[in-house]
Amino acid sequence: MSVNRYQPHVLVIPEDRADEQIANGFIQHDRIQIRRIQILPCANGWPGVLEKFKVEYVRHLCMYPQAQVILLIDFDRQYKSRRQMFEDETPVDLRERVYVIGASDNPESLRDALGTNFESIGLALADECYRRISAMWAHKDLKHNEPDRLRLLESVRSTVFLL
Amino acid sequence: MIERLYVQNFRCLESLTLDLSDCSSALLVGRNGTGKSAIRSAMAVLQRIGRGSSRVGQLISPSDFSFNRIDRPMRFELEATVAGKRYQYDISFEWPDHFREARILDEKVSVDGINVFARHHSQVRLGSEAEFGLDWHVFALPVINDSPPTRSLQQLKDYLASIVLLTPIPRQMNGFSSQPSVELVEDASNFASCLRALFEKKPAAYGAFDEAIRELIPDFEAIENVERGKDGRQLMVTFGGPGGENSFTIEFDALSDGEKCFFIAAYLQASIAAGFPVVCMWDEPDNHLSMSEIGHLIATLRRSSRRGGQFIATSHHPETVRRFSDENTIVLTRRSHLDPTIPKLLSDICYEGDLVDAMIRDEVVG
Repeated sequence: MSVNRYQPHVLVIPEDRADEQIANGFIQHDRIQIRRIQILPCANGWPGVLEKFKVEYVRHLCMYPQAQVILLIDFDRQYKSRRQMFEDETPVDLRERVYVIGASDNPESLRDALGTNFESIGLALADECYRRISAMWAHKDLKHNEPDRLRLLESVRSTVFLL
Repeated sequence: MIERLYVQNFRCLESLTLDLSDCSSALLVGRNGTGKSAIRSAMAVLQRIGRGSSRVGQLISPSDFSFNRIDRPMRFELEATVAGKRYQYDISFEWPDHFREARILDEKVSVDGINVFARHHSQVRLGSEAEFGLDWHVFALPVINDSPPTRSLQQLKDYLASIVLLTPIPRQMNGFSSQPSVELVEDASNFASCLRALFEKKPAAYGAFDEAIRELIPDFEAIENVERGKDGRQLMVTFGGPGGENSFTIEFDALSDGEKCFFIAAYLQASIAAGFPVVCMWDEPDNHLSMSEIGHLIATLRRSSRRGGQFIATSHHPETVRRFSDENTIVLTRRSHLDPTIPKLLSDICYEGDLVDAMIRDEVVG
């Protein structure tokens, strides 16, 4: 991959095309350091993300201490149980470098509610991360991500944005 | 920014509207033979008019008419926003019996809805006043000049001339230039001349170039144009280790094919940063690049185009397809060689499961 594995970097695993397009929008932000973030191919649903994470990226996180992984999934109105499932499958010592983010239902509902497209959502979320503000992040379909968002601001922000 | 391109009766494009409104970057996908290259050729017609081609015969041949049907007019319409103004340039051609070359049927320029000139055959009308005659094989746009401070026509000509159509052949890019040039050719063989012109015209562009190329090639240190012969220059590239240790310099020609493509991308970004609104149509920008670099290059070009240019890619590569979204991916479809090309936004097409898998199954591009 084009990121330098020995430098701080972030890998993004989207569940599906909608999440992938949100990620595409995120990396369009002017201040993103493109070499620090890599969007990987869609994993075919949240079970696919979980499987891919367990099989390929737990190992990656163990091998490269500066790696961080963002899993972009749909919570399908089951935030607590699904978030817990991902946490249970993440080794304790790696949890602080793993983020599970997604719409409370699915990105399509979020897009329809916001009346925009996925890329614009991703770009707006990136801008809010960069500026440390929370407008779209506070939307009812996204606000459950607050714990992960705050952790993102602490570590991922300084990795991917040119501050 | 090109907002709309309409092409009629040109090669396989019988009646095609490409809607690019508010689209700073777009991807054209489609099976082989659906018209991606024909769109590039249509853009080339407009680019060459902007660059001063004066005679129709230099640009249009009988085989350019769809199915060789020279009894029907060929038409191009371009709407573009340049420096906040909305330009429209329309031109159509016809090929009467016994003519040796096509002639111009109509040609028109308007700015923000107001006609600058309109012609029919040889009669040209400027605004609502003067009329004059012009050889009907000669384009009016390159020969009409408007006086300052308007400069609308010059702005349109500069805009069309600055369209960059790329199908790079890295082996042709040797880094030598005998003189500066502002018009990058399709195979990018005059890349060194164009980079030389950019730095001579806008020395501050070096900063943007340096920043862009470092993002693509992290150990890049410097690029220098050393004298070679009487007026010649040879690009030399220096790479460095951490802290500037163990740096080494090579001729540009010795770079890999993929690295040369990175330099083209950095040149485009530096041009935009220097204030030149580059419209770039790049045929398979993923060619010559390793899998891990493609998404990175596409994201870089897309992002820089948001700052003032426009980037249109054509590709079959999965990684390129993934780095665009459904609202900026245009699928060209064509049932057979007897049918016209039809463009559709990917967001208007239903597909099941993974996009690339659906494309392989022909559910999207079929």
